[in-house]
Amino acid sequence: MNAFIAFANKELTESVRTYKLLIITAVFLLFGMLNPVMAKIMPELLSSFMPDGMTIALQDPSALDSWAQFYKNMSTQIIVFIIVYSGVMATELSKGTLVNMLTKGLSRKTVILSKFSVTSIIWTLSYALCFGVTYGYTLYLLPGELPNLYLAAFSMWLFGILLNAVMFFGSVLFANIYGALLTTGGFTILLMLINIIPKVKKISPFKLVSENMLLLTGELDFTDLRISIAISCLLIIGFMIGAVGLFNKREI
Amino acid sequence: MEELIEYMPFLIPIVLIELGLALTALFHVLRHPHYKFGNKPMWIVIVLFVQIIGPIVYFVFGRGEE
Repeated sequence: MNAFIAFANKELTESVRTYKLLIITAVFLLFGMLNPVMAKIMPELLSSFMPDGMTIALQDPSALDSWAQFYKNMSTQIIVFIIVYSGVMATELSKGTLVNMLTKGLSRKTVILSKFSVTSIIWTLSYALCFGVTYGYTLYLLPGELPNLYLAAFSMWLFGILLNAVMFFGSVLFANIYGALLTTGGFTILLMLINIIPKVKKISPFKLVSENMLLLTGELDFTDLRISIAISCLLIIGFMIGAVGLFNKREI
Repeated sequence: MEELIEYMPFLIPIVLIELGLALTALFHVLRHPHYKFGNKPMWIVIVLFVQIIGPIVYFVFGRGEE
């Protein structure tokens, strides 16, 4: 356990020194503020750009628009997060900087699990930051009650953790950044492709990110999502077991 | 434009974050003159004039190894 905490500490320091934490915090904070403001001023902006004599019918913005922005931008933020953190495992493997620590008796399981924990914690905190800022601004700018607000946020968060686990699996499998990114991208594209099959669509983890707005309008609720959530949790555990297993066999 | 002034309290923090990122990146560019690719003038322009994306691209792809 001591080794776990020490290594996690090292990961956190590395995150600060390489400016990764700064970038992620800035991006998530920025989008958190932009979401409600954009939703609020978008109709005014659009009508002010319209030439004279032309009018377009626009609904007054509501809290729903702000959260629509949140989920639309969050997919971009996941991509930024994965790109920024794709190196945590992969660069250490490709450069061989882990050799010293592993030969001194640090177990391989500890390395990968503490790295995964640190990236997951950073993802959780920055996601919470973005959610909190959007929540606060939305409450102020576009007040309104929405159903399933936290469930929708949770499902998006869980998908982020899932992609994080896939990224670790890819990092160990290919031992370089491009492999890690390709695995994560490939996994997402695969999810999109199998989403065409109606039976799969009902239970696919992709449901966690594609149907957030339906949750917020109340058309779906927890019972519709529980299988997707369970499958995502199983996939996270599966990918991590796979990553640990591969890492144990890999020559460094 | 009056509508925009009304939103100043919300736009100012956004501008502050952008400036903060740009300045951090600018100092880093000036103090660590080794890049994975490109040169100092190029990175200064990118970091200062490409909003948000510029500093991120610099820290993720352009920053050289110590």
